[in-house]
Amino acid sequence: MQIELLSGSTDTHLKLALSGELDAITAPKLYENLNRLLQQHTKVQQITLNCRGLTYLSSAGAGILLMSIDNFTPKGITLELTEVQPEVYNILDLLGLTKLMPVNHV
Amino acid sequence: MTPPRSLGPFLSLFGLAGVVLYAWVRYFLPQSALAPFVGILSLIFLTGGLFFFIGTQISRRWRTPARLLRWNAILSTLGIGNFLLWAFLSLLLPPEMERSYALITALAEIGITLQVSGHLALTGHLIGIRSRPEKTIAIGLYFALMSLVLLLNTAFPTAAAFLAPLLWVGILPLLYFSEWLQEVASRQIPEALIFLGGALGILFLEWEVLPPLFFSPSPPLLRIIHSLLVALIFLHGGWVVVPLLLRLLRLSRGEQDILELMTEFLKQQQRSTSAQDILEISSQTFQKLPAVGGVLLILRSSPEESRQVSSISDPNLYHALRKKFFQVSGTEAFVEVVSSLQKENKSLPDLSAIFIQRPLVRLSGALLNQTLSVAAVSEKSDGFEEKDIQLITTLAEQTALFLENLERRQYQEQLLTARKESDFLRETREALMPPPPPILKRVDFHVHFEQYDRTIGGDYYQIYEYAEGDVVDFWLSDSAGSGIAAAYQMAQARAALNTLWLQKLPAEELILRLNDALKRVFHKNNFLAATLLRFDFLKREYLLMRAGTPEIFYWDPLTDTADILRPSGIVLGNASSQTIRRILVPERGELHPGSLFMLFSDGLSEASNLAGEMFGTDRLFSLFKAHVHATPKEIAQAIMSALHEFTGGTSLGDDGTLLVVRYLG
Repeated sequence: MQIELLSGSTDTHLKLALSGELDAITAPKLYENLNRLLQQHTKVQQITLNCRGLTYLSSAGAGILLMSIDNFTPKGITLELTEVQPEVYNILDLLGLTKLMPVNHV
Repeated sequence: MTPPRSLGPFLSLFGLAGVVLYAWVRYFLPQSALAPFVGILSLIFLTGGLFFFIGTQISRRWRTPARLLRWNAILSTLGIGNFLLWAFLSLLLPPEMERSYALITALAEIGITLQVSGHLALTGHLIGIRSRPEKTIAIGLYFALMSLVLLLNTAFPTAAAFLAPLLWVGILPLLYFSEWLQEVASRQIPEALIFLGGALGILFLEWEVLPPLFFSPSPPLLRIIHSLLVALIFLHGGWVVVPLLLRLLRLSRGEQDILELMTEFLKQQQRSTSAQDILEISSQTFQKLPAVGGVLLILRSSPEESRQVSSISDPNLYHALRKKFFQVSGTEAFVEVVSSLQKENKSLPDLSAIFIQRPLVRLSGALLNQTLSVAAVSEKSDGFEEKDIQLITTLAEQTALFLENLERRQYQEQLLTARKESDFLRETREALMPPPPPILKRVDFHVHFEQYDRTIGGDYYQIYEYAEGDVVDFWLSDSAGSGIAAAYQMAQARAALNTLWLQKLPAEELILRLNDALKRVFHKNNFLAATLLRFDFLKREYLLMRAGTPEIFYWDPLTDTADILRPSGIVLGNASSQTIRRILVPERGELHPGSLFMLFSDGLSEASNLAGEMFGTDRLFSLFKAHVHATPKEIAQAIMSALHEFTGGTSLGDDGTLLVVRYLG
């Protein structure tokens, strides 16, 4: 899995691109990266993850997203997923995550 | 100190003059006591002369044991010829020609004197090979003793007779110093025995058998030097016997040493835990073999990947040995003995070597993709005998077997661990199996529960009846992940659920409290997906809650319509209960006799065929619709049959649970 900070990011809005597979091995890496970015950008209010290149989401990956929402919401940070592939969207929808955060599919 | 080159010829000439004088005395003064004295002096001078002649005039390289022994034998044969010639001539003479008889025997004795001095000189050089001071002293002392006994014999035969045994005993140190015997004993034993035996036979025939037959009385010189000749026969006999004894001793000691070496090798190898250990132990053992001067062991998996142990210090030789193996395929097995490496490559030292290559094999017989290569080098050319080659190949084979066994041992340990894990999983699985369902009067239901790989997983179902049978809960859940981790989460959820059931809570409260409980025990990225279907027989209604599980199929008997129910929900154990409460929306409906529900885990909808295509909710729903009038068991069987046909009979790839429930009224 690759995480890339996109050029349109601002102090308050981080835009990241995810690609590859988000599974039990790569999910902790995503969580670490998000936390590190939040330490570097203390004024962040919104994080947008562009998931166009995300081809697979395992239950462990979904768990990390859930955990992130749970941690970010009390801090006033919104997590958003954009351009989610249909297969990944179906999993997010099945688990109920689409009701917890904005998710836009391709 | 090297004697002058002229000493040998000078003494020899002096000796020759002496034998001519001896013949003259024997012919002209047959009764004179001077003859033996002259003869003995001639013998002493001739022996010394020939000894120094050979030592100073003939190259040391020429004086090999084989050549000296051969000359000894030639001399014996000539001696027999000389002896027979004069003996037959003496038989032809009439008895009255006493002086002629005396002359003939004198001439025979001259030949004998020349021959004996030759034997003594050659014998001295045979013993003197690889000269050292104590050996030179021993040879000198024996020569002095011999001279003394012979001279005494002329004047005091009785004293000489007493001293004669000293000549025989004196050969023992000479035998001890005959170092060339070691070489004869360890090599060329049949040839050496035939040769020495032949020489001994000739000597014995010439000195002990023929004289009594032809000469009567025995010629005086022959009588005097007889004790010396017996010593010579003893010495030759010793040269025959000692190599045999040495060989027997060496064999016995060698076998004992080899046995101890092999025992130690096997003991050490049994304790080895890595391929490097095995190679090190083998290398040390190879180096203890007397014939081996150096060894190179290589265990290679590919041309780029190999481990090795080497005791070869010459880099040129080391690279040549390595090259020999790496220029052939690793799957090729061979044993090659090279008697001279220099003949193959002029830049190499003149050594011999044995090359052994052996591909390693798995227990199943398949190749292990590893090859053992062994190069053993002797310190000289043609340095390996047959027994050395056998021993080296045996050691190499044993090394290969230990390397193969190492793989087998590791495989067996893995097998044992896997078996223990399997036992543990089986016992855990049995402990985590859902309890037997209650007997329900108003509901017909069937559960198909299939665990991934027949181990344990995260799926769980339970049917719980309470309020005196007026309420029944159908539970189906799926923990995130798979295997033992998912099973532990499932066990935690199961314990919490059964505790909460005792409190007879409303369905929403049950789910929220379960979420609180799981949130405390789950790791942050773990969760539980669950479906709860509650039948309230008093109210004749059902309540459905879905928390991250697939859709539920429903067939309404009143309208004969099948529907997919998708109540809003989210997985449990991760988000706060406030969030869950906001999202989780139960679905309620009336229960009619014949109402049919189908709950399933994602293991069924996401089961894939060999092309990677998922079975999907649509196929499941079509099957459900097609069998709504069948019994729950028949519906479950039809669906599972279609599913397994779709996957090609392989595993679902995840836990799969199917729960079909019909309200009977």
